[in-house]
Amino acid sequence: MKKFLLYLLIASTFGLFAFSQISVYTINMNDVISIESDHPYENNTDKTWTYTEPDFIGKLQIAFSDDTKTESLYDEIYITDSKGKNIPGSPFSGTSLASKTVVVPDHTFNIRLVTDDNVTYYGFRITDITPIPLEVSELLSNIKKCTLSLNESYQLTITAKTADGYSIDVTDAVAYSSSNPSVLEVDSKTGLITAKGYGDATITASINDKSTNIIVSVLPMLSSLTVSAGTLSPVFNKKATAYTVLLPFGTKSVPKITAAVDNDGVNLEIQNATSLEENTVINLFAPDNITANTYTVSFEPSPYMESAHPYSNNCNIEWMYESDNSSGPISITFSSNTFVETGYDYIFIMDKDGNNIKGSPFTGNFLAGKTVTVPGNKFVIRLQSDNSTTDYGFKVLSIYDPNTSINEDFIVDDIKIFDS
Amino acid sequence: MLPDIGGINVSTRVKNISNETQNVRMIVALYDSKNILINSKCVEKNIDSNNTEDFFDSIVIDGSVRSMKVFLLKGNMLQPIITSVSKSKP
Repeated sequence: MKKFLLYLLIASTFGLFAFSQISVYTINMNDVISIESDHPYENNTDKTWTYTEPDFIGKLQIAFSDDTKTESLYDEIYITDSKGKNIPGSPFSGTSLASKTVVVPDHTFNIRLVTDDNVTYYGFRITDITPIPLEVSELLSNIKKCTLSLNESYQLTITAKTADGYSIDVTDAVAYSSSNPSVLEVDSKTGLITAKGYGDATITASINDKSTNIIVSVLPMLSSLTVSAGTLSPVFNKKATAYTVLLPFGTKSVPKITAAVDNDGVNLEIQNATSLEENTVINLFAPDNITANTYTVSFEPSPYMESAHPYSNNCNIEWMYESDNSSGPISITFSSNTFVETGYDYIFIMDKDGNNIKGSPFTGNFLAGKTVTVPGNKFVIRLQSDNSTTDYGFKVLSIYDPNTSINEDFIVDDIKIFDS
Repeated sequence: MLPDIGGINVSTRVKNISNETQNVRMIVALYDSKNILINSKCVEKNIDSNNTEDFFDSIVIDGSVRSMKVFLLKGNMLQPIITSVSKSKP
């Protein structure tokens, strides 16, 4: 404010020339004068004032009058930056801002007064706004490394850390350069990068004597990846290069992988797995035959059986399990959401001789979260539904022999039980 | 055999010989004369590959307790590592 007053004083003393020099500050001065609430403020009000220091990079220090006051905890003053992020301590109420200064790490701030339906006080009045120029201790990019496909663009975000711990967005204030413009173009003012060719390039963002580098690789990529069976995990994203195909229980054959490239001229080579224990490898080569990218796909059959969710009407599906290393019995635990239409759809659990275990067939949510035990080392689950209404079906969470140690992963001392 | 009343200690030592960290729980469960669970305690530890952990717990036996079982289980699915050990009052 002192600066504004000084500029006004100069303007009035030296006439129009000086006034034209300081016009921008005169406008700010008027803004500053208007940044205050009514005194007292009204009930049920929600009003926001916005202040911007033009052509400025740094922090704004805001001073409040000694009579600034709101109803404690009920009427609040929010102070946020240009992105709406509250500064530490915001929202303020009571006399917490009286005679205080706060700092907003931005060239813009918003001040919002929200009041309830009774009790009013003075409100607030800003007495001074001091722009504090940026002193960068470290320059940081939102990414250190990234990969792009040809012709893809990406907007960098650069943040300056100040010695006193503030982070200020300087994306539009830093200068950008590319080590290899034929691979990667960068807008020298905005930080928007665009892949123009295959290969690597380093983007340098700098301000004053500080800089930060971002390493970018422009790679041949897939535009699609599909499987003939199972579910691809994660969902295809051309930037993700490792996938697992989740397959139903009992799957033995390797599903077919189909892939397509995202740009003409890229050579695609698929090395198909011959068993579920192997990976399918997809190699992509850019036209320069130097830049390459590799995707891998592994296969994971579910260790336990489950129905479709929801299961279909008129189904009659069986799943068989046989233990190679146990004579049984076998315990089967079902998920808590196991459910079939009560009285119309059934889950049969049968032993190795095809006999229903006690309680089978099960319907409704009887098996939800339950563990049942089947004699012998083999069992069959059959899901049978009628022609209407379906539900979740079933999912087996674990299968184990309750009487046999499965401690192949452990060496266990005897469990000792003794009087204390 | 379990005492009629008094404290009981349970201990064991488990070595994880797999090549990944394993979650292991020792559960001590008390049952009444109708075989209904009336109290239980659990000690849970994550055991790094090739590491050994001691499990220890104590529990009070009162007049309502008829039998006790100790379970050693692994993972969220509570798969048994060994058959449960049982003790009953005479």
